[in-house]
Amino acid sequence: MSRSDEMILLAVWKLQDDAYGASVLKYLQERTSEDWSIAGVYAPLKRLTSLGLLRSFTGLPTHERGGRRKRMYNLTVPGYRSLKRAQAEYESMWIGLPTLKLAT
Amino acid sequence: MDWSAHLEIGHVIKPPFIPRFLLGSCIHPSDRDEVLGDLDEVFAELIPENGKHRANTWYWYQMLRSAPWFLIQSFAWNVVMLKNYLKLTLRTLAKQKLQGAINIAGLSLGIALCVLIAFFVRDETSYEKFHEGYENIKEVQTWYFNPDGSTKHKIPFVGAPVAEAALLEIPGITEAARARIGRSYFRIGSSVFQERMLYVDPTFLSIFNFPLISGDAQSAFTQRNHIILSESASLQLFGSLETIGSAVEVRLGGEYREYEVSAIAKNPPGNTKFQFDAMVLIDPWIETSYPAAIGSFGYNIVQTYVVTRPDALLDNINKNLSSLYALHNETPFDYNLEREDFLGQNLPMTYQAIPLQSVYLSRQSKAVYSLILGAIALGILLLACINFMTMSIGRSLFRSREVGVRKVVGATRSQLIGQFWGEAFLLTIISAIIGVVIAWQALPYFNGLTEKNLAFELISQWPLVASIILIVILTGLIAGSYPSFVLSSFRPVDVLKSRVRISGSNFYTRSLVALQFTLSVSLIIMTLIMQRQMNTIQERDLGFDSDQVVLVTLNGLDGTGTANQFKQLLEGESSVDGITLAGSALGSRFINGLSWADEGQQLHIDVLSVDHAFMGEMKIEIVEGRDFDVTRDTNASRVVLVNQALVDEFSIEDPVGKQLPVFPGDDSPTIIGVTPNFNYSSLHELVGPLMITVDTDWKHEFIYVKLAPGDHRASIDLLSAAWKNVSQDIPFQFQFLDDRIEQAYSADLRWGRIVNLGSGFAIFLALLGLIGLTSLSVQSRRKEIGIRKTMGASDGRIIGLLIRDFASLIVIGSLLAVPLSYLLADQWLSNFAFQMDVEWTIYFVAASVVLIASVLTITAQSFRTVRANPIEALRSE
Repeated sequence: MSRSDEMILLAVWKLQDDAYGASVLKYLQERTSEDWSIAGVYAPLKRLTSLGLLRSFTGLPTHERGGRRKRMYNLTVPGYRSLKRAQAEYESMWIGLPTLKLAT
Repeated sequence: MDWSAHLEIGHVIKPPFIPRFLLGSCIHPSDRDEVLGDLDEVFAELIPENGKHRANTWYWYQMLRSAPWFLIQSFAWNVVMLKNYLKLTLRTLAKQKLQGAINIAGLSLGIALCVLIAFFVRDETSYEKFHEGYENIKEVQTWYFNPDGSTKHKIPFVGAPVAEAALLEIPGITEAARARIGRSYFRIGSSVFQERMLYVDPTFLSIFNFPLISGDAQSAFTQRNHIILSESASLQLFGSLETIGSAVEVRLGGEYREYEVSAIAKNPPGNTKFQFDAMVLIDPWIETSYPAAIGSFGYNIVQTYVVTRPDALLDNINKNLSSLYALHNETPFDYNLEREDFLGQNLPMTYQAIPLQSVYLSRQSKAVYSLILGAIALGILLLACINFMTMSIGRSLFRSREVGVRKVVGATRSQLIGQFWGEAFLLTIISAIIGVVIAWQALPYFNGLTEKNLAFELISQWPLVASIILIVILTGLIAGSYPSFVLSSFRPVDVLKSRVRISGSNFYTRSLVALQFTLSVSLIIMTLIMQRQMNTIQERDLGFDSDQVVLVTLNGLDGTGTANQFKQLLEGESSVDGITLAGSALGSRFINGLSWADEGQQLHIDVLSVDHAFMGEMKIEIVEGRDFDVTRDTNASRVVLVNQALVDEFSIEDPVGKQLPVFPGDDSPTIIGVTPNFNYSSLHELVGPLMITVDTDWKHEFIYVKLAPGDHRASIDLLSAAWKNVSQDIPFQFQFLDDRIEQAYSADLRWGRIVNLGSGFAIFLALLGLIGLTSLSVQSRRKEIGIRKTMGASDGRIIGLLIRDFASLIVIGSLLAVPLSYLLADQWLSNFAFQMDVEWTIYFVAASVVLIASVLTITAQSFRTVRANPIEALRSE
């Protein structure tokens, strides 16, 4: 699982019942310094869905979108597990690090 | 692909059109809505924060970064869909095996036939086009006119000096050559061969493109006794191609002369009329065979070809040729005064130049045959295409449920259209490939049928390949159009609830069926007319007895002497009933004649030279006067028999005892008897005025041997043995008169066979189409039939109901076929002087045949459904 996959999963989790292409894109753009493209969001969303970490369903169209439908995403149990595992691994890497003598 | 709706967003500012459109085209339809919606949403929020300009830039950036990925995605998706469609097509084919097979078989047969006929027509129109600069080569012909200025007939021969005179006197003519095709005997040692000889001028080789494989065109005719052999002749005579310098004896003017091989030419291709085994100079031939024709414009004995400058106008050349004729002709008219009358309105005859490439097609109305054949090919292809369409429509109607399910699951209309069209194209492409393979395999048989030597060349014939591709595209387009547009437009709920009623009786399919019947009835009528005409010709009383008559060719031997010797040798043989002599073979194209000018009119009579026994042996009636009589006619040149046509043409009253109105003065022979108009010439021509003479100055060319009934092979052996004692120079050559007469119509018979084949195909295809349509109509009316049966209708009545549906179409089709086939048949019949009467019964018979075949087809096809227990039909929902 790459870092961008992780970010996407976290975004979907955070957005809860309102996770779809545009909201994920906006959320990531606000919180990260990276430039996100719509394909950069959709590609992981689709892949993670086919891996079973996400589940997708068609959402109701809203007026803001000119009546266009949404594809909504939910985190699944395997998705949640893999996020927790990633977090645990990540944290274990941080534990016990010596004080760094900065080279400046 | 309707995205215009995306532009009408409820917000004030729309995203820029161009990147939105580009991105939209990259995204697969299944994802397009949500992706564009997402972008629109983000874009709308960006505007109040960052302004329109920044938002636009952002959108462009999004498009450029995202388009590639979406493009790859949608491509991968399409491949999956294609696989899916293909699988579906194959499955439906497998499910409807019979209909699918009929569908493909019909179209591939149609395409195969078209390919073959295209080969044929191409060959017919390719005659003489391989000569370099063929556009500038013209054949000079002699045209005869009637007093009213209309053309009487055209012959491809002119006088011996015309070529030279035209070259010298007519500006615009740069080269000229004479030619004459004939048969001649070759002798090497004691073996004699008969070969096709082309007598030519040396310039012939520079005008026409007959390449030499050894030897040099410049020096090939430096000696009067040089001869050029074709490859095959060289192999036949010497068994080798290294034959330059070899000696061969050639029979010329009644005796063998020494010739020396100077070059070997490639065998002439099939699409030229100059089919030769050997070429020699023409001058020695004229000098020995027709000494009187040397330097004379009066004997039309050679073919003449001129090369004109590309900028020379044919009209001017022809004007000059007319003047040339007037200038050199020894008839007592002042043609100079009338020279301005172009095309010799007042000339009895004139010379005319015809472009070489059109000579072949204009002769024997070959163009008409190509036209008929082309029409048949197009008709059959049209039939096959129509079948393909009606069957495709028929098959697809049973798939309306599939369409409904697909739509419910989410297939867009464009996907359905694409699917049906894709299927139609797949089938047409398969059919085209099978068709081409069939054509390739059937070419040898087709060559046998048409007596041609066509080669299978597809690559070099790009117009043909292009038209096959065009046929595939058009058929696929039309065949797929109905299912893709009509079926895809149904509301899925209606389809699934079986609320949509489809039957085969919409205007589209009905008019196609009517057209099919028009075509097949026309072809049947054509077939019937051709057959009847050929029967008319074959059964026609020719006016003489051609049974068991063997013709022995004299080939320039002294007729009377040889015949007498032959006669003596065969005297007392029980297998020979009689022997007689004549200058021509009866019943085929006639060449001997007498022409003279009289008061501005060119007159012509045919001349048949015979011996005294001829009329009696051939059982030719004499209606007035008497037959020739050896004892009474002491001076053979003083008496003639004439036919009724001559009496009528010259309006002679009480002809017997009168002088023949041919030569002025007392020289003219006396008419001693009149024969009816027996068909001495081919039935393509009218019986013309004929003079029959026993004057031996008119040469005899054939010995007519009348065989007694019995074993003909033994009789022929006997003749052959006797011949060896008469002439060692020339091998025994014979032909039955009946066979020879039949040969004159071999082309017509051949065409009859081809048209038979074509109409057989057409009927077959039309019936196939009917099967498809009937099954469709029966299937869609199963419930109706069931209800009718429970209400007490009999099987016969129900079948009658179904037949009535189609009967009107058949009647309309037949009515349309009458004028169409009449036009074509009229064209063909105009080739014959003796025409059958086209009776209305023929049309009736053709229409009835089709009607009966259709009724049988409908009955057979619907029988099972009609006989079925009505409960089955009514219960199924």
